[in-house]
Amino acid sequence: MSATTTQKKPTRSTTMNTWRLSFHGLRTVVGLELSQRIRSRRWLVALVAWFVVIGAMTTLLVASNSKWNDRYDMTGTYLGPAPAGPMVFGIIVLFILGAGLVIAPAFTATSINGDRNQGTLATLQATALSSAEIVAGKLVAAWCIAGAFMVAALPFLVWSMVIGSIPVLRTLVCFAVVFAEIAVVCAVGLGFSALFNRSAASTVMTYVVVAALSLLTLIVPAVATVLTVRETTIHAYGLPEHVQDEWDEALFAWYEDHPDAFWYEWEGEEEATAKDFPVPPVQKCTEYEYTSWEAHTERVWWMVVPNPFVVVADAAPVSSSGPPRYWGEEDTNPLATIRLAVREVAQGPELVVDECAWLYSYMGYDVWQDRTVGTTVITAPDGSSPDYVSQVPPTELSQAPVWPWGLGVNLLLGGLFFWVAVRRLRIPYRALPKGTRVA
Amino acid sequence: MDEPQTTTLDLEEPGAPDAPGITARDVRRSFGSVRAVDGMSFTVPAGSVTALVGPNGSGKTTLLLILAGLLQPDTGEVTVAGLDVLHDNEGVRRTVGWMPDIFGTWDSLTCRQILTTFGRAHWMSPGAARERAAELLDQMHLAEFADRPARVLSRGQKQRLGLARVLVHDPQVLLLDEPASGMDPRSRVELRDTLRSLAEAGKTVLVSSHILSDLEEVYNHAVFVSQGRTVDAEVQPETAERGWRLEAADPVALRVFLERVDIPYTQNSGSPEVLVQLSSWDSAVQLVRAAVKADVPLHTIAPVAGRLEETYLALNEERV
Repeated sequence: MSATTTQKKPTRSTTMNTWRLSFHGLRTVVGLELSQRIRSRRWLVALVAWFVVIGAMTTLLVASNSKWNDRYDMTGTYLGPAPAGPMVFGIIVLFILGAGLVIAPAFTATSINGDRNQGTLATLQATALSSAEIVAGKLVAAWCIAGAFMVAALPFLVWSMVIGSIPVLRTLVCFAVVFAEIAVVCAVGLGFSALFNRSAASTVMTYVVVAALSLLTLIVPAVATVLTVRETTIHAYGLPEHVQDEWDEALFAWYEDHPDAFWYEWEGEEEATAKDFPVPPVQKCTEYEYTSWEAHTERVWWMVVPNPFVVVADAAPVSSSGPPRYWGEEDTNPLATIRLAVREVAQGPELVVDECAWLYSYMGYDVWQDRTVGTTVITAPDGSSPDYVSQVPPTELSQAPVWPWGLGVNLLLGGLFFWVAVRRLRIPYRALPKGTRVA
Repeated sequence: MDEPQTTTLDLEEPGAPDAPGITARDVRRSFGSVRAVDGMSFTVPAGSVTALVGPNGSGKTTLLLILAGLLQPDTGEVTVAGLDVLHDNEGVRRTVGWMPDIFGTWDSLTCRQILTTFGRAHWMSPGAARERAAELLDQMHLAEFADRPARVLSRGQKQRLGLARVLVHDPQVLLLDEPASGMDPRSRVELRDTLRSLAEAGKTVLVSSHILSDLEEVYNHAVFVSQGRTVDAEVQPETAERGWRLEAADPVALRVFLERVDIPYTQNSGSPEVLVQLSSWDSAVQLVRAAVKADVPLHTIAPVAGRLEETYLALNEERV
């Protein structure tokens, strides 16, 4: 039919402006998306329902706080009810993050393939808008809608912030990190909606990524920890083996003579002050080594870093008294607990241990470990300290923030999916995904 | 620039012949093993309406996607209004109004919102976009639906909205894929008027349609495509044998006359009209003269098919 003329391969131009991102274009797409997706009153009803749920939850937590949220000091002494603020703040933050991770895919995971199937995408692409403007507009619009739910929870966050005297700046940081995590999930949804033609596939894949970030980042390192168990040499400062054996015998004999003094009833002070109680021979403490099987969690801990809950908890405000110093100090503050747990896991097994200090608990002292500085602290009930100098250097728990790394990884992930989405919308199309029509 | 293989039919030559319209040279595009566009070459002059005619699956929609800057041709060169679809893709998109065969709507957007959004997407100011939207809604007789969601529109009304949408930014080149489908007769007449006035304003208008009778009265040129290729097609010449439709106030007198002059005819039962085969336009002239002389009250004589349709059918015969 037609004579074959020049068979030259067309080259893609540099003036297609695929990546141009103008304010005008962005605003146009955001406006279109918002008016398209915010429909009637249904949306408002969902928002109000959400507001009521968060409000009811906050009120219940605050009201019930004094009934169950007890506070103990490092030695287990009851200190009365803990302040409700940090606990409520933590639960609300984690709750809105969780809800955001669940609802965000709903706004983006079918955004591009849905438009494609409706035949509205190509008409928009045929305008002067760039691919980046279309994708970014969709992202911002979805982010705004998901963000409306976050903002609706804000009054209760502020309430718990006030009753917990939590610094405003850190609260803002925490809230901003939640927003950023939501944006990441929105971008992932957009990427999949550009990759898959079927909305079911893109939705499932987006939730798979959310689940992978939230759960797999905990399960995988937990399982991998088993593989990190190694025979490890521990440097200890404590009683040499034969001294320990002698003391154990004396202790055993004493308990035989005092059948009422079960270990679990042992209050410490009375027994320790009993004239014939075998005092641990702390003056015989010395350095020695032994080997034991230890899990080297410091090799796998980094896997938990991209977990959105870890990121947000780590970015969350620490209480006014600083980071928790011992396990249980803030065990009703979920954010502080996650923060401490991540750092414990990051540190791995203690390779140098002070076993001698713990013997002072047999002499009526309170012994506890300050996790922030890593030292073992011995105090008498009257507040005095024994003349004990630990031979073990303190192992300080890192307080370096972890969340910027996790957030960075997540933002990279979101950026990757954004890039994928723009690439997939780049026109003129060279290749089409299977089963796709342009128009 | 050497003249590409052209199959355009020049029926008349309206103004602005120098303005660049559309040129395509040996355009090819395949999807996997399917060669949707397999060597199309043609030119579409500005200031005219050009019909894009071909059977289903002949590559019309794919070709329009390439011209709209949405699809990259595998090989070949395409310029639209003097702009290369690859090298100045955005320029092409700003210049072109592309109306797809399926007009998707945004469920909850009103007609006015859709038009202003597209105005904004072409960098019009909010005021200008609103003004233009109102103007087009009036022009397309959609003013009463202006603030109702587009989903309530009928198919034909949606087509009118789709036409309004491509006109928002006053494009120099219009690519219309089946614009008349679903439209009522009055809307079709108005579509023809719209296309004609656009051409008179110097725009390049390329229309694909299956409803050849719609194009018949408005087109200046035609591009015939078949199996992904532009094909050489001459509009059936005046000397070609074609069917004619005759109708007279007195059908019996007409039949008697035809039998007397020995012209074979066919008649559909219950219909007063008769069909005859005539070898050329001259034969038709002779027939009319003879009928008038014989005092047959003949009031209608017309070719059965339009010239586009005849050419189209002739193409299909060729393929067999």
